[in-house]
Amino acid sequence: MVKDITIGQFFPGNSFIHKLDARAKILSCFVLIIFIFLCKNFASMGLMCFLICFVYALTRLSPKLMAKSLKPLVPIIILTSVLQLYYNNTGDVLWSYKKITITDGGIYTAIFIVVRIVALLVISSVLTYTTAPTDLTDAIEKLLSPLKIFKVDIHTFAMMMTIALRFIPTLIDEIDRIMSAQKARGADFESGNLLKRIKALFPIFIPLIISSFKRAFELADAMSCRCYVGGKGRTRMRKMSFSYRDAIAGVITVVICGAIIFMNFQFEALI
Amino acid sequence: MSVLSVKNLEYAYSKGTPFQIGALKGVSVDFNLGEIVGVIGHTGSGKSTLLQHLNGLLKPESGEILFEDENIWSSKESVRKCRFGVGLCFQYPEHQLFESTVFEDIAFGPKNMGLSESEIKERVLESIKFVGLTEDYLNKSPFDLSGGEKRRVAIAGVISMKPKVLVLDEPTAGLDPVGKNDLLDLIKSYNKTTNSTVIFVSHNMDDVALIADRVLVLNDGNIVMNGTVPEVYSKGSELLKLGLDVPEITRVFLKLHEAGFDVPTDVYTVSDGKEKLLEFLKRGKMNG
Amino acid sequence: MEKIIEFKNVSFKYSDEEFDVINDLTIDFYEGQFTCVLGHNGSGKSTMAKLINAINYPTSGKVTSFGFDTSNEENEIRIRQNVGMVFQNPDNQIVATIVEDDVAFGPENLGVPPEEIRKRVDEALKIVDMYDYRLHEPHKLSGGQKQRVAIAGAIAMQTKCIVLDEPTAMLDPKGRKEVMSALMRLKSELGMTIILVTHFMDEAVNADRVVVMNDGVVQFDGTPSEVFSHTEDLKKIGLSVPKPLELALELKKEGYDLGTKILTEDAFLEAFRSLI
Repeated sequence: MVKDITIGQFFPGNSFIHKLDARAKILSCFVLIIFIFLCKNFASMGLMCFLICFVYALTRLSPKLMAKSLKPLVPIIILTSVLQLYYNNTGDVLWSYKKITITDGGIYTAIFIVVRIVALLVISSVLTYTTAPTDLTDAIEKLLSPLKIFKVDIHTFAMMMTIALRFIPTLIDEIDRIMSAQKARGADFESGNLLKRIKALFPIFIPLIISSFKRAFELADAMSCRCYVGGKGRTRMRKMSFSYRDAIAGVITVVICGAIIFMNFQFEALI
Repeated sequence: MSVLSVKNLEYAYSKGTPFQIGALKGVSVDFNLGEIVGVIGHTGSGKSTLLQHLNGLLKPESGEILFEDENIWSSKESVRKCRFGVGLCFQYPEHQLFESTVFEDIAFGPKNMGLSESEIKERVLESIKFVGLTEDYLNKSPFDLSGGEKRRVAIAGVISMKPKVLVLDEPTAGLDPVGKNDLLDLIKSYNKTTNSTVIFVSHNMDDVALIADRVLVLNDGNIVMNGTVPEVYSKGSELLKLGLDVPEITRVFLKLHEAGFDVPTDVYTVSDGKEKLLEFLKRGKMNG
Repeated sequence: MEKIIEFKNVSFKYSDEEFDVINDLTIDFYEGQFTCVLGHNGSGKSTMAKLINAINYPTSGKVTSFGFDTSNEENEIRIRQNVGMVFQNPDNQIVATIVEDDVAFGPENLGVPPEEIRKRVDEALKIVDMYDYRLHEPHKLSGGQKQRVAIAGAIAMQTKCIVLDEPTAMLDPKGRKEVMSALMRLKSELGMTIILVTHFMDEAVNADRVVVMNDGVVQFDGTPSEVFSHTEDLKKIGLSVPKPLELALELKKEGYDLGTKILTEDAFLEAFRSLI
């Protein structure tokens, strides 16, 4: 079912990570993602993983939750590691059959790549799990606000993002409903050639587009009834303010990144 | 004669999560040929889940649905047969209109059934008549119609498949009193002329009282009442306990009864109410 | 009572339609009153609601809201600061991804300081009994809950008047009751002026004043019991009357006079008692 897709999930909480300023979270998440790519060997990656696990533990969210979100991505992860095994033939040959050669170097890199992907997914999930979508868009608006000098309308962009996030679940429900209704009239979405399948989508997308326009007009009316005239003169209820927590998070990020650079030099590069 | 029967149907949405709303917990019920059945229950009672099982949109986790004595999930053909044999019309069906003309939209179902051009045309003409619109409407765009007209066209789009059982989820939602009564009359006359079974969900007990032969009450995934309109409506206080509305007149009689007046409580129309009260008043005079 | 909204010979026509939806309408609304506007679909009642806060402008005539001419674009913000609006579809008027952020949307647009917004949002959510849901995502709420959030959104702007355009048309009975009791609290606790457009008769029972619209004109205007005593005329224009009253009127024909103020079952019981 379309309904099983979850985008921008947020799990409210009261943990250290939840309380961090969204701007601090976005920035450190961004830095950590860069440094995940800069990790060159198991020592530095190990340190990174330790930090990520520690951060996840701090969110006080169940590890099961993370496992559940990783599940649909398992095929992609397996595929990438198999490709690594196949293409990377460095080191000692362990096993070989016709064109396929498996080496210990290949195994190491395959494992390394899997760890890297999982690390990337976990750290970005920590950001979305612990940050309310509104905070996220607000923070992006703030972080990008220097672009205003180039006449980029950051506020409108952030408002569009908020509305998109708000309406994604509504539209998913709607697609579900329209699909069921057309199925009840004998519509068939699952068989036939490509052209037939594309044609079969009309009964879904035409009503969806019509209702989306209707929603858009009604929403526009509702927004202007609440005196919305764009970003000018607007205040915000949530004040964003850096606290000692953000300083701690910043210091830890910098220290870990420094350590990773150090370890990259200390130990032999794997990748 | 039973045309559609549900046996020990169980179904849970998102098992094991707090979102387990609208689940069914062992529902068994028969629907007979030619009857009108009103289904009531508050949001989350499982009525929408039940409806979507009736034409095979949802597959039971356990239990079975028999359409004309055949398990609808026994083969691919039987599911298809049930799709067309049990016409399901969703809430706000006008939101599913998509073709450029009313004719094309009503013809969508029959086309999917693989009928011939002439047969499709015949059915479209027949269906538009059933919903009380003239043939002039057939060449219009469905999007130029009024809300009430759109609703009728959408219902015609289901009727055109000539289902033996017509299932409607809150057909009168959002209509004003006149639109509502007109539509209920149409449903009633459709049922009489075609001798098909009609199953409809409604929040409005007055609507159900107006046209239903039988009433099903769903609560928390179970059928808690199943009987004729007088049978079910006489249990007004139980219905209130289930968080359901009872007809306004029934509420008046429940109030009177509670206050110690010896009046019946299975009254749900103004004319019946008037009769019962006159009776009571005359009796009072005789005793006094 | 002070006149806050004034329609003077107002006509209105949608640009793609031939006929006037509102036809030479003259009517006033007063401060602190709970007015219920009834009418069948297409009677012009929703159009009238949208004329009040400058979503629609009259084609001829003049609408004055809180002293401001609605046809003058410069007045738009000032009018909307005074008149809040709640629409029919609960999904299409919630902007934010979290309940309390949505309630804050209006005050934020008005440039209210953050501490003040916080205070207003909490109070507004408490009045509509949605405070416990302040951190929920709107799409997971029921229809009745969403409508109450929308009402809170208007309260937080501290509007003096709230116009609701068929707010319960898409709700189940439970949702309808929730919305109605929230409205009753707005009246009793905040003394707000409420204009409720609906086609549900039972929602008009507790109003101070009932206005019945038909073909773009006002057909009846008075207290609920005055208006509903025109049973036959109301039926003719496609409306019904509260069933207890209908029953009482039927009994009156038979010589048992219960009076004409029988709008609820409680009133019926009272009258029936005194009859016997």
